[in-house]
Amino acid sequence: MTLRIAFAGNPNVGKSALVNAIAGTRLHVGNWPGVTVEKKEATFTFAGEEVRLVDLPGTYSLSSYSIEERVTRDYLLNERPDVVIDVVDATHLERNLFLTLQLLELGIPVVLALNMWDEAKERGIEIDTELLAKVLEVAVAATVATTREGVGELLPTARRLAAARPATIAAHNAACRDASLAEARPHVARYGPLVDPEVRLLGEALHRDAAALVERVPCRWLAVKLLEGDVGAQALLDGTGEGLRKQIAEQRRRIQTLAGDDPATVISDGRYGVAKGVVAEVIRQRPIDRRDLTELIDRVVLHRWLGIPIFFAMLWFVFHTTFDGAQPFVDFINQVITGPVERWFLVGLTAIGAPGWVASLVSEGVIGGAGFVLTFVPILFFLYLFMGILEGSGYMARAAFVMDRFFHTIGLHGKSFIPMILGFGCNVPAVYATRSLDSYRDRVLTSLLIPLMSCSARLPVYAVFVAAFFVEWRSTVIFSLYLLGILLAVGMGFLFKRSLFRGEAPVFVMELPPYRFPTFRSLMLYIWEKLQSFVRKAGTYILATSVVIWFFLNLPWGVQNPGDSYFGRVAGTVAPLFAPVGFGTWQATGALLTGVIAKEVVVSTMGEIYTPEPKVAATPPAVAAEIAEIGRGFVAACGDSVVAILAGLRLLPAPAQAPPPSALAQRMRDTFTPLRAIAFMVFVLTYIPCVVTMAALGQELGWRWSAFAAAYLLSLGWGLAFLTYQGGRLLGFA
Amino acid sequence: MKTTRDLETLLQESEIAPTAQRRVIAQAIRDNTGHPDAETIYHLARQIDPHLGIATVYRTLKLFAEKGLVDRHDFGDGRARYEVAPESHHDHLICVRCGTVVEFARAQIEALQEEVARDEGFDLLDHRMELYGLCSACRGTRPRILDPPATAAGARLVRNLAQLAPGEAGRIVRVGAAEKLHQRLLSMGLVVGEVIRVERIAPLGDPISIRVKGTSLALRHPEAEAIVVEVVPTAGGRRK
Ligand SMILES: Nc1nc2c(ncn2[C@@H]2O[C@H](COP(=O)(O)OP(=O)(O)OP(=O)(O)O)[C@@H](O)[C@H]2O)c(=O)[nH]1
Ligand SMILES: [Zn+2]
Ligand SMILES: [Zn+2]
Repeated sequence: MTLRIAFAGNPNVGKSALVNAIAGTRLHVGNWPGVTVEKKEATFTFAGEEVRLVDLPGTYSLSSYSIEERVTRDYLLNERPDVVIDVVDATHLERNLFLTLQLLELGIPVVLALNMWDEAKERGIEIDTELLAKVLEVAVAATVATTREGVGELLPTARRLAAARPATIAAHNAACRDASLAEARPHVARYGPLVDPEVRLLGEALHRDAAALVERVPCRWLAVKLLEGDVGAQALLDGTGEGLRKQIAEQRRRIQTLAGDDPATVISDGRYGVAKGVVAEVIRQRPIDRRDLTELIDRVVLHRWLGIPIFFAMLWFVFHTTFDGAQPFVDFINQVITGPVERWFLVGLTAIGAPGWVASLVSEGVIGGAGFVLTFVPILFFLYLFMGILEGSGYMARAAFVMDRFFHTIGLHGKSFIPMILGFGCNVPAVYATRSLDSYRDRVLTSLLIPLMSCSARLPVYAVFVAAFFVEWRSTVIFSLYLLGILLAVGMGFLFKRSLFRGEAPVFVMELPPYRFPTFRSLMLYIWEKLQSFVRKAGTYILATSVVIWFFLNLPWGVQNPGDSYFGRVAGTVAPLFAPVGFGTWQATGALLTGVIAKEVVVSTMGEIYTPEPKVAATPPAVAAEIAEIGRGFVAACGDSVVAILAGLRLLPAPAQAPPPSALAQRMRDTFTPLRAIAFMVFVLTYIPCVVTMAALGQELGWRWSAFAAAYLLSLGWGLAFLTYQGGRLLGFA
Repeated sequence: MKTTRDLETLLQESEIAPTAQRRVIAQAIRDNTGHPDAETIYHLARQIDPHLGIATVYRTLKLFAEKGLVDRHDFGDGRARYEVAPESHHDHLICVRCGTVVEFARAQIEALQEEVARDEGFDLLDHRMELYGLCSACRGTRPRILDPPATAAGARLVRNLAQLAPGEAGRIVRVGAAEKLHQRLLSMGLVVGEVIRVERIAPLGDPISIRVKGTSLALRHPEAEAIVVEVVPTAGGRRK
């Protein structure tokens, strides 16, 4: 039989660190069904027994007011794990016990992991773990997730408790029916002389009128939640008699009248009362409320005048290092994939006598697609490195604190800033960066606006057109496009806030955790989790698209001119749609179509279509030499990355930039006019960013939002290009 | 309190030269039944005379207050409020949430005050009494009124959290948020009786960060306004 262990706890208590310390790379990251809250699971064998760990989302309570709370509650109620490991921050025991007391009401055996034990010791907090275990009737283990101190105890303890689980549940059920037993437990879930009798009364009624329900749901927990007026608990009552509901309403009114406050407040007060009592008993030295290092850092980082400049400096550093630092690796991967790897495959395929079209499919469709996915890996590596540091250290919450006012006006959260800015580099990591936002609404809204941030892949497109048409106005034109993107994002933000997300006012209550050093191991695990999930999920999708596109370009068999392929025909068919916006040729639409795969490709497609060049034949490789070459290339890329990062920090001179293509510019002037060029660039700015972004959106928000984003971006882009082109014509431009 | 006397008499009695602008401003105050602040008076007066400047309004109000034409009140929300000096004395109830001011007069209270002054050997010249709390609208469905004062003598300063300056602390008297937020605040330790301290205000003026049960929380203004506290003295606290 499998031992099922769930990890629960408040946010920022080191729960992930603890789960990582136990499960490591065995963790599998997915989503909870129906919601985009991350679900981490691991299954492995421990001392001859199969163990399944589930990391529940961090919550402060077991109510049903946020997705995290609902996910946690539903899992505990429906799946009934064998043991709950409740991770608490030993330095903030009182507040953490608020959740613990609710977990105890569920009747599942609880192991209390007193994490951050090192910090507690440092602050002179001494907790009598034996007494705590006795008072709460739980098992207690002191842990330091970062150094794994005490972590080894958790699983054996959990196993021991699981064995005694039937007894625990029986005791729980007995206590809930028998008043004298409940009195005998001095601390657990006592809400004072006013509420306790009501809980018991309701418990009895539940056993009487909703016997089937109480078989599934712990009755004491249910009674308390119903008295609190929790909507999720009320939903469980569906199908039971009207009498029960009346009784609850009456009991709630009684508490309200007698206590002079609403039942939820009275019960929370009671819970904190118990927590205070427990803390007073088990903590030998009261903690001193001093913020030491955190207070000092905050004084600077959140300073009235320095706060914003520091935030922007930090942002600039992340942005710059992510994209410049990753570039050499991107180039390296490109070279390896299109060079040696492709050649090896081709040679291999020829050797086994595969037909020419298979070779072409593999090299262009499969290897091209896979290579393209892999080029995102270095960028995402750097991104996740910084996100991991910013989140793990506690700065991310500060960034949100500093910028919230600004973003609040367009209906967003302060934390939206980082994803939005990253969008200028590449929309893909930006979409993934929305994970740091707590509410689904914020994540959707932010992700929908990210494509309007002109990513760096769109720059080459602008560059080609600007070089051909607006040489003197180069920077003004490009800057205006970026600005247009930002203005559109603000406008659409307002619009979405008023339409799609009307009435959903998210609350902003956020903890500012103390600053901590994220450990190397936790960072690497974090990056590993995210990268492998990207390659697996987005990768498959992109690879498939790439293969499909290859077929379109190469069917019917033997096409010589891309204009005659299915691709060219499709482009030609949709081309009239683009006549009103100024670029209704199959070449232009063809470039835009491939641009859906990646914006970089717009330029290369234009290059191929407008100035075709013959393919170079494959030469037999010298595998050993090439592997050595790849190794040297990687080392060189590491060096270049460091140079690029330092150069950006002005510590080294910048490396030379590649010159823009010029033959293409000449050909462009023959087919476009300046006005048409502007309309084209506006369209490129707004229409679907690229399949990878769409895949990321699908992965993060679901395919419906991804489709919505595609539809709204296409219409917005078309509309704007139309306005630009027709407006320009009215003003007398061609 | 609305006065029955006409403008001319008012200005004459206070020995104020009745220029056109002063008349307009006096009329604006007289016609408003509440306790308007300078900003409001300015807007009211502008409806009569659109050329009036805000500086004139401030200058005139200062003159009126000096001459005893109007009474100037400070109800602790950072803006002075005015009313035409009443013929008969009254006291005020002030809502700490929405700023509503209610007038009342109780003979027993007045008598008691005079008694206190007499017993202490005071010659009573004037007095002000302001009661702070939540008006019936702001109290909403929650019938709980503020706890009785801790000590009969010590007047309690009741504020909402957004009104505290960094460094100031308060004991929570009431958490008045809507259900969802209310639950969230409760689960994060914002319960009645808890002492919390405002740590800092974000560079752009919102949100604020507060210290509760040993952790720092960030709240936006609307959320902070829903939390009513009784100001407790702190060593580091400085008033704005
Ligand atoms: N000193 C110390 N730091 C720890 C300990 N456990 C975790 N941390 C650090 O605390 C920070 C937060 O840890 P996480 O594991 O991300 O916390 P979490 O509870 O998973 O937070 P959420 O993912 O927001 O729910 C990280 O920087 C960890 O390195 C510990 O026992 N001692
Ligand atoms: Zn008055
Ligand atoms: Zn009010």
